[in-house]
Amino acid sequence: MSDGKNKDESKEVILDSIADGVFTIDKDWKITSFNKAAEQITSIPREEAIGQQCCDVFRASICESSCALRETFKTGEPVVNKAVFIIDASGQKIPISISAAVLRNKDGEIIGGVETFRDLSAIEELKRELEKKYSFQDIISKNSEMLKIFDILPSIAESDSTVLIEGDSGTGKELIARAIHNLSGRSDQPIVTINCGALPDSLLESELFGHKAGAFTDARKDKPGRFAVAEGGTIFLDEIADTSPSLQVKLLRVIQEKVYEPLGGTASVRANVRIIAASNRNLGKLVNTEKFRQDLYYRINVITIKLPPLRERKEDIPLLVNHFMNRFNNLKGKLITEVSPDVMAVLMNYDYPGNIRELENIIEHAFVLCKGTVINLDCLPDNIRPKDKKREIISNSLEDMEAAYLKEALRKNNWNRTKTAEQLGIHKTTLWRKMKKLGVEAPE
Amino acid sequence: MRVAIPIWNGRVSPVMDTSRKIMLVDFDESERGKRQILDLSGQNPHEVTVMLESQEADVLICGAISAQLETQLRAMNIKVYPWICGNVELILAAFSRGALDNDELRLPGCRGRGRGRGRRRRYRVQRNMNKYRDDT
Repeated sequence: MSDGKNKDESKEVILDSIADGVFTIDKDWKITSFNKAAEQITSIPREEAIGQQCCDVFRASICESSCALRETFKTGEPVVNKAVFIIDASGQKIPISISAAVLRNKDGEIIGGVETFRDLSAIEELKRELEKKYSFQDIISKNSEMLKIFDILPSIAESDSTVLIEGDSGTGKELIARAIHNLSGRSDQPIVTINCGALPDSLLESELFGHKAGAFTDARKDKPGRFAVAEGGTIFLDEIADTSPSLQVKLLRVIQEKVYEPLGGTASVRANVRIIAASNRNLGKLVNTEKFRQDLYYRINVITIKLPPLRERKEDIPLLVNHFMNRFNNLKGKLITEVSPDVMAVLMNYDYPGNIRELENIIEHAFVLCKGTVINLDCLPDNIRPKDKKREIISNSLEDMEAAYLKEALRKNNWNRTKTAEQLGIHKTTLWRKMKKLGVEAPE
Repeated sequence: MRVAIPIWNGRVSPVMDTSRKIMLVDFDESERGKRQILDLSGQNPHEVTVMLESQEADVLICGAISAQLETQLRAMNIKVYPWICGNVELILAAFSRGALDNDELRLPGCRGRGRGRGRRRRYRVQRNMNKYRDDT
């Protein structure tokens, strides 16, 4: 009798010395033991927990839908490190990871179950702090080029000069424009965005400068243009390369003389608006081919910000994936906690012609298809999923990364091996040997 | 008066934020109340809030609930009785008698003390973070 009591006491001491929360249940789902760490994480005293239904004590997001203990009773297999949240008595959601296993007697019969859980709040908080460190006005990056841009943005914002933002489609040009506006002295006035490529020329002119009643059929009333709406604030002219030569002349006048005439109007209107322009094409090259006016180019090219495409800042992919997962979890009320390592490998190896917008769409697609808490390969869109079964699991080994780096360097040098070898600081024979070893071949 | 109560296996759902069925009881029509059960699967907490408002629920009796969801519901003038556990029929009977205050109907850890332990928790998180930083 006293031996049994001693055993129970020593079991309690052992359980209390564990840093993870541990509780056991009997076959009726009632709690039979509850250690000290479990008390601390759930804020429920042991005497209140013992003898209660485990779901009333634990209050986890999966109690109803996919209880870990129920799963392990059904399969006999333990559940390991499932990420969920519980709700404490103050209504706070606490992120935890849980593991569960069955308890059997000497004859192998199931007599209950044991669940261990770890508080992830501190880790989540640190993750958030890290994310804050790498984010600037809604833009997330730890890429050195982007960090340089973050550094100079406040000075650019203060200057009130015209800014040209160049970058491929989906690289975040509008986010940069908004950041400049928000950091500038005009932040309490509106920022107005207009996509110059989305409207025909005549409509674009009326949209930008407004029109007077009678300027054209159906123009019954005066209508203010976007420049008037943005008065005192900022106007963001996206895809400025798509404007016609005649509109380019009018834009030049606004930038130079700060005045414009509404369509059908005779009097000039003064404009106090900061202009930020953006293009996904190289405006300098368009000037050389006479597709863009040189004088307008020099007027808007006072400060240029060049945004690197996502394929050149792959170190940002895990950060961005995490950011989009948090966003979609909030928007869609889901609890997806991570992407599997093979999905991350696929995401790291993809080229992203649509840049960050494409990555966002990939994660949104995965959120629609994901049934559990982890995004796996089946949730990815067909076009980025590996097609070759043998290569299904793409590793992120040093060799793979080296091959990807070589390919990128060769692509930048138009597959000229001599130039690539020079840039990489290796002999061209070494480059040739590496290409052969890693299976890097020039396109046909 | 229309009362909403999330249910699971004849008991109040342990977590309102992730419950999958909710029962609406009209107490005006009969002593037992006219009942209907709605499916909440696949709906996020915001959609549940909007649905409860459109169903003209006056009261929600539930188990654990996140502070965020509780605030949203209160903003829509739905009176929330949180941290309740046990058999749904017993809970409804207690509600009609005005006896929901009974400690036996409250979730463990919420008996006789109400809320307000968030500060202690936040302190603990901060302490753990500092410890983690010192260790690394």
